[in-house]
Amino acid sequence: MTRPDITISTEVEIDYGQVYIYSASPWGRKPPSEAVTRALNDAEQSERFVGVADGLIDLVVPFRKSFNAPMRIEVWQQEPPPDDDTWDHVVDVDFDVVDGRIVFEPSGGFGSLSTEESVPSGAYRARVSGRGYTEAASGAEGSDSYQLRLWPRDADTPPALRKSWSGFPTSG
Amino acid sequence: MPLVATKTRSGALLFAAIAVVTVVAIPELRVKVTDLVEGITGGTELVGEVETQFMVAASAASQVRKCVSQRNTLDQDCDDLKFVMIDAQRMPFIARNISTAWKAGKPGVLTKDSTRESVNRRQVCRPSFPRPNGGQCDEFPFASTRQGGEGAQEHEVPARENRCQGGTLGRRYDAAGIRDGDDFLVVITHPSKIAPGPYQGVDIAKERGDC
Repeated sequence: MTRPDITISTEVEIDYGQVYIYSASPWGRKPPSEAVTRALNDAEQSERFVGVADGLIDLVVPFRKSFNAPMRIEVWQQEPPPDDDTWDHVVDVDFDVVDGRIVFEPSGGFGSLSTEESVPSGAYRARVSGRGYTEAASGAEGSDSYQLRLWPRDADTPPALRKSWSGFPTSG
Repeated sequence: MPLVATKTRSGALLFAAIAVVTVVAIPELRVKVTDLVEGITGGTELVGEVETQFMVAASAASQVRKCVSQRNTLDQDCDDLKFVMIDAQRMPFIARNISTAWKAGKPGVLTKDSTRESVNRRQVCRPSFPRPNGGQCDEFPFASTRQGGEGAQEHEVPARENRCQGGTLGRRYDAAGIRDGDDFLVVITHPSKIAPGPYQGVDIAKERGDC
C-alpha cells in the first residue's frame, strides 16, 4: 500500500502560535472544557510542541500567525511509509473523527475552518507534520505548510515525537 | 487688531514653553502632570484588597466597583457583566502591554466582533514586526474585537505567554458566553506581577506553572 485512500487539500490559519485540530468541538460544553489549556500544557511540558487533550490536538508553531497555510489530509488503511525527512517537525498522536469532519481553529477565539469533504468517522492514529518553520519564524510569509495523516488504530497509544524542529526551546 | 492678536498668541506660546520646561525639569511636578493627563485620556485603577486585587482601565472602574462582592472578587452574575481575565502571574508582559495601553487611552471594555477579525489580524502584529529578543508580537485591544486592528498597541512578549493568552481568550469567550456584539471587560489579576519593563529575552514567568 503506497497511496492513501483519501486526500484532502485545504488551508488553515494559525494565531497565537497555535492551531487547534478537532472533530468534537471543545466549545459550548457544561461545564466549560479546559481542553485547550491542557493540550497546550501537554505540548509545552512534553517538549513535543504538539499536545493532546480530550480529542483536541494543539499544534504549536514557532511564530505568531499564518494565513492560508496549505494543509494536506490523508487517510490510509494502515500506517503510511515514513516521510519525516521532508518535514521539520513530526509527532504521532491518537485522534478520533466523530462526525466525518475535521476542524482547524486558530487560537485566540477566532473563527474555525472545517473540511468540506467527509473523513470516515473512527479511531485513528494521526501523524502531524509541519515545515517551513525556520523561514516563518524569521518573518517570511507563506512559507509554512502542514500534513495530517490518519490510519485506523486498534488501541490507544501515547503521543510520540518522531522528529523535532531544532529551533524550539528545550530544557535539555 | 491683527497685531494685538499676534502678540497675545506669542505671549501664550511663551507661557506654554515656560510651563513645559518647568514640568520637565521638576520630577515631582512631571509625575503629577502625567497622572493628570492619564486621568483625562486613560489610566488604570486597582480594585479590591491586596490578596485579591485586580486592575482595570480607569474608564471601566465604575462598572467594576458595583460588581465587586464582599469577598473582593468580581461577581459574575452582576448586571450581566462579562469579563476576560488576564493573569499577570502567568502573562506578566502581556499584562504590561494591556496596562500601558490603558494608560495610553485604549479602552477597558471591548466588543467581540468576528466580522472584524479577518481584517484586524492582518493589520497588526504582522510578520515584519521587529522582535529583537526572539519573542512574538502581542497587540491590545485584541484582534477578535471591534476595537482591535489598526492602531492597537504592539509589544514584544515571550512566545509562551502569547500561546497562553490565545487559549485564555478562546476558553473565556466560551465559558463567559461572550458572543458577537457582546461587550466585555478586561481584567488583570495579580497586578503586582505585571512586568516592570519591556521584554528583553527572559521569560520571567516560565517557572510559575501551567498556563
